[in-house]
This record gives sequence, structure tokens and C-alpha cells, in this order.
Amino acid sequence: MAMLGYAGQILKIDLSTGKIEKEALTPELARKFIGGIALGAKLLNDTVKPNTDALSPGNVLIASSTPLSGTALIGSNKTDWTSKSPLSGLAQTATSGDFGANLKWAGYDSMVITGKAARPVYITIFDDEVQIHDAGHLWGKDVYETSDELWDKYGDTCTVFCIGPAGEKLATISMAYTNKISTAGRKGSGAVPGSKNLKAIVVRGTKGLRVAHTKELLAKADEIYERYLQDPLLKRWMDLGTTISVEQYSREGKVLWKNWRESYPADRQSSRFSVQQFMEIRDVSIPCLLCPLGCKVLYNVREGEFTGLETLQSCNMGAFLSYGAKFDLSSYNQIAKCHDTANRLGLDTVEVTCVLDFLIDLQEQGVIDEKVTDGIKLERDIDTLLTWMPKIANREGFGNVIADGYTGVFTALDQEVAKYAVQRRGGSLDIDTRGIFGVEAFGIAVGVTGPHATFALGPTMIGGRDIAWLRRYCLRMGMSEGELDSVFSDPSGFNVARLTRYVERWNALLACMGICNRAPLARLYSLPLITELYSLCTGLDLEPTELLSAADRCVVLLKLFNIRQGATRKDDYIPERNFTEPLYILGEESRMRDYYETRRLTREDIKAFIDDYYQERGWDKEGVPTRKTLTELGLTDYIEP
Amino acid sequence: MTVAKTKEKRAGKEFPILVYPEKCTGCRTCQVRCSVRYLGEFNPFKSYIIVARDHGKRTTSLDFTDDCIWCGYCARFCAYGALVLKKSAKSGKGSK
Repeated sequence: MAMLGYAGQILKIDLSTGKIEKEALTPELARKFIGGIALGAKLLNDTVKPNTDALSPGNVLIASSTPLSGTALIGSNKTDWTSKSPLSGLAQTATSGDFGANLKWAGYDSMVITGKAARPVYITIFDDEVQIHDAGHLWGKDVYETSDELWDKYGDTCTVFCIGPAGEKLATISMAYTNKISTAGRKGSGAVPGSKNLKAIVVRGTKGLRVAHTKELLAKADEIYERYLQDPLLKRWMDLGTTISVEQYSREGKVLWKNWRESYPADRQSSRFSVQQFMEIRDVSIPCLLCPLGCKVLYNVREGEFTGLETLQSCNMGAFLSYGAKFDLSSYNQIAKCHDTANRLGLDTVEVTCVLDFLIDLQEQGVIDEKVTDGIKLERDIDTLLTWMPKIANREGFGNVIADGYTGVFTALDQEVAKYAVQRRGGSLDIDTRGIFGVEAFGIAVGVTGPHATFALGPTMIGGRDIAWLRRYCLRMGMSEGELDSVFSDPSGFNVARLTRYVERWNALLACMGICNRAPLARLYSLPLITELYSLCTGLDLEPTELLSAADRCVVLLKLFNIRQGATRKDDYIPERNFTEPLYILGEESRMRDYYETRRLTREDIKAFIDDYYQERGWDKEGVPTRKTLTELGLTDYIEP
Repeated sequence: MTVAKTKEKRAGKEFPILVYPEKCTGCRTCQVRCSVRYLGEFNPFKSYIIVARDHGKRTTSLDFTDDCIWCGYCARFCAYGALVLKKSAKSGKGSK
């Protein structure tokens, strides 16, 4: 009998042999690894051998649902995607899209794809019926064309996951997409299926899901929904999505351009990318499954340049940061055009724009000339983006180099150019550490999934939060008195490295439950509530501390995975330029300083922070989880002899 | 549910929902809520409301099966204004 709250099976597909297996998810595995990203981390470790080439058949593509997904709990339907990143060489995870809910309704908690098909294929998962089909007719088609063709064939109740030309060409700055709009994460998530000759996966689940305590769960779901409706910013969030932060970010100088040298002028933002201008292009909401927020939208260009263009936008803020500001575009119409081009090709918006911005900087500094870039002078404008994105996705000319991101450029040119780049392990940063140095900034240095601060987003994105506020936030994350003491006994107010460890634990737990990190949804959930919901769904009674341990297990397993793929302490760092050069924020020179801006941060300070972080996690000086830590987490199977 | 049973449940009621399919985003919350309330499982394919989404045209048609007993429960959870409970029908709340 299937476990309640879980589908009870793991679907395993080996594309090399065509073998399809269904394994039971045991209650022991469920209790220990919960679901979502922790289950993904476990399956990643158990499937991928040490030092595996991320683009070889030995890598894996994992999609996991969570114990809460597919139920009526709002904002808890995310899918966790896991693999080894071909861009960073580290574990790659993303909590995104609603593939997992449909997978779960079809009868599977996780899907594990290994091997490589002899020719392009796509997979269909319709409940018990799982098939591999020839995808010769789809290969070469873009994300929109592929999704539409598969919806036409299988119906619109399916969730469609697919890659575009960039993924097919193994661009390590490619992405895979769900329902044309949600991505399976950055850092080459399109190239992993591409390397397996896997063009798409179509899933539809009609089996549904039963939970242990339906009536009580619905009562809780009602209560959560009522609280959600009380959010004073709800209407604004529903209208604007992530655009809600554009003006504030711009005013505070958090929008950067010119290869991480200065903030984008606030007056340009207000004249070109105002809320009013956004609303002119915004059409309907395109929500994830079972989501009342609908922060993703349809862009509809109704007049002016590119009139008639309609395209789906997942993160409006990200599109502004990447295209609008970095490339000095003139309007949301231009953003829509660039976004549409990248989405169709299956390119990673952030990496493409950061690497092009870096190359523009190299040309401006006189380090390289136009000959390097196929005789084309790179400019901060739409023409450069529209010229280069297809070249990158199709690996044409110098686009073949850019397709492999910063690492590709360093290899093709001279490693010396690396000193001009702001990156870690080949991936661009989310946040500049010379702005506000909170957990989000420090997380860039030590994050187990590279510089994309997957787990370190939270309380210190805004500067100057007082200690009382931070302590309340920590209590909601379920920190114990001892943990609070460890973080807040620092003379500066709090120790950012030690706090990072607990913020990561909290975000890992949210990911294990598939809870979206958009503020109106994430803030509805606390540790006691999540514990109760888990019990109501599954009938398994776990203590809150057991759930936190599962979240820790997730991060530790990802760390162990990285170590087995060759990562060491040297891979935990802040880019050198951030120590040597100032960032100009709204015209003022800004150097890397502590959160409360009382002192400059040096390399020694960062080294000490990394030591603190490892210590707080129970890792040794080299960042290796100790035998004691692994034993405490019940991971003795992973202790190296 | 039998036809007779459905008729019995509908007796004396007016259809309690104003339906605006052009506002539907296809999130399927209504379906999942309906299925769990009446069939005890989270399953949009077993709902008494049918949400037919056309991803290409971005349009949705909304329909109700013959088993629908016009309780209006689904409309309580429509965040996009596609299902609106008529004022005359706003009464009991909470999960069954």
C-alpha cells in the first residue's frame, strides 16, 4: 500500500538501455530524506560516481516532488531539480516549476534519468505508462515550438519539460524549461538533458493523492489561505510580481552594470522601467499549478517597437537586472524581445548577460579587440544581445566560446582575463559582496551549489536590520537557544557566517517541502507549522528537530557530492576584484564592509568567516564534514574509510 | 453520485457562482479543492469542475459536471476572479 502523502515510488529511466524501473520509496527513506531536494541530494550521491563529467552518461537528471506538493497548501508545489552542473562542476539544484505535482499525481515522488539515448528522444509519463519516443522531429526546435507541439499531441493538462537549441548544443549556460516559463535552474540545466539526447519530458498524473488527515489538513490550508489574503501587499504582488522591488533596488543602488563596477543610474530606471511602464506591457498572470499569487506574467507588446510580441516572463526583476540595466535598453518592449529570444533558445539569461557584459568590459579596457569577437564590437545595446544569443546557442564563431560561460572565455583567451571577472566556479554572482554584506553575500562564497545563493536568501537582503528583528526571524527558522547564542554573541551584533549556516538550513527545509521563496508565500510558513503539515500529509510524526536534521542532511550530502567531484576549500571564495576594487554605488565609493558598515572586510576576515561557517556546520578546516557530524546526521554510510 | 442524488442536493438552490472564464489562469486550485472535499483525494481529474486550458491561445473554458451539487466551495479559492460566489450564496464556510 502506498504511503499517504507520498506517491510511494521512484521512477528510474536509463536512456542508454531503455530500461524503466519503479522502486518503492520506503518509509525509512521518506523519514530520513523527506522529499524534494534532500531526496534529490541522496539520489545524486548514490547515482553519480566521483569525478564524473557532467555531460557524460554518468550524470543524472533528477526531478523530485515533495510531501506537501499536489495538495491544497498554497505555494508548496515546487519541483526540485538536481544534477551535477556542467558549468560549475558542483551539485546543481533548483526549486522551480510544477512538474513535480503532476509527477506525484502520476505515482512518483522522484524521477531519476541516467545514461544517454542513441538518438534524440522524449519521454512520456502517464501514470503507470512510461514510454521513450523518438524526438527526431523535435530536435532543433525551440522551447516554445517544442512545448506547443507536445501540448497539441498530448493535451494541455500535461506538464511539458524541454530544452531548446542551447541545451542540444551542450551550452553550459543553457537552461531547461517547464511549461515554457519555469526553469530547471541555472548553470547548464539545459545541457544535462541535451547530453543525454533527451529533448523533452511530458507528464500527466491522474491518480491523484491521498493524505493521512484530510479534514485537518484542509482546515490548516484554509487558515493559511486566510492569512495569505490579509497580506497588505498582496494586490501589488499579484500585479507586479518581482517587479515590486525594482524601484527600491534601483534607489538603493543595488542594480549593477558595467561588469560589476557601478550601479545603474536610478533616473534611467525611473524613466524607462517604471511600474507604470511595466503595467503597459503586463498582460495576464501565468501562475504555477495551484498558486494564488501568479507572479509570473505574460508580456504583451501592444504598441511601439516589437508590437505584437507575446512572451512569458518568470522573473520580471531578473529580466530588468539582466537585460534592461546591464544592456542599457530603452524600454520593456526591448526587454520582452530579448527575453523571448533567450527563452526560445533555452539560454540562461543571467550567465549570457554577465559574460557578454564582462567581454564588453574587456574591450573597453583594451584587453581584447574586435577580432576576438568575430570582428564585431560589443556594445551595451539590444543589437549585441540579439546578435549574440543565437550565435551562443548555436555555438557559431566566438559564440562557441561564450556558450561555455566564463570558463570557456578564460580557456579560449588567457587565464589572465579572469582577474576582470566577478565569478565563482565559472558562475556569475547574484549579489555583489561590496554592497550589503549579509548572509546572501557570504552565501555566494560557500554555497554548495555555487555562487547562485540558492539557500542563503533571507533576512539580510535589506541593510541595517536591527538585532531584535533578526532574532525574531531566527526563531521562525526554528533556531535553538544554543544556536542563537552562537550567532548573536559576536561583538558586532551577529556573526554573518554562523547565521548563514542556519539560513541555509531553513531554505533547504523549504525546498524539501516545495515551498516557494516568494515573500507572500514563504512567510506564511514556520517550523512548527511545517512540522504539523508534514504529519497531517504523511501520518509520520517527526519532531521539528528531525525535519531540521533532514534539511542539514541535504546540504551535507550536496557538500559531500562536491568533494567527491574534486571540490576543495579553495573553491569557497569571494572574487578577488571584490577585495581590490571599489564598487560605485550611486556615485559613492563602496568597499566590502560588515553588515552594519562598521569596518572594512579583508581577505583575512573572509578566511575567518569561512572557518566560522565550517565550524558551525561541524566540518573540518578543509570544509569536509567530520565523522562526528556524519554520524549525528545518520550518514555513516558516507564516511570515507 | 447518482443523478437523483445530485438533483436532490441541488433542489431549491440557484447556481451560486458567477463564472468569468476569461479571467481563469488555469491554476486548477478549484479542481483540487473540489476533488478533496467530495472524493477525499487531491486530483483535478476527479473534480466536478472542468478546467480546460488552451496553453497556445491562453484561454480557458470552465464547465461543471452533472455531479456538481452547486455548493460554491470551489469559488472560495479562486484568486483570479474567474469564479465568484454570488452574494446571495455566501453563507457557510470552512472545510467539510
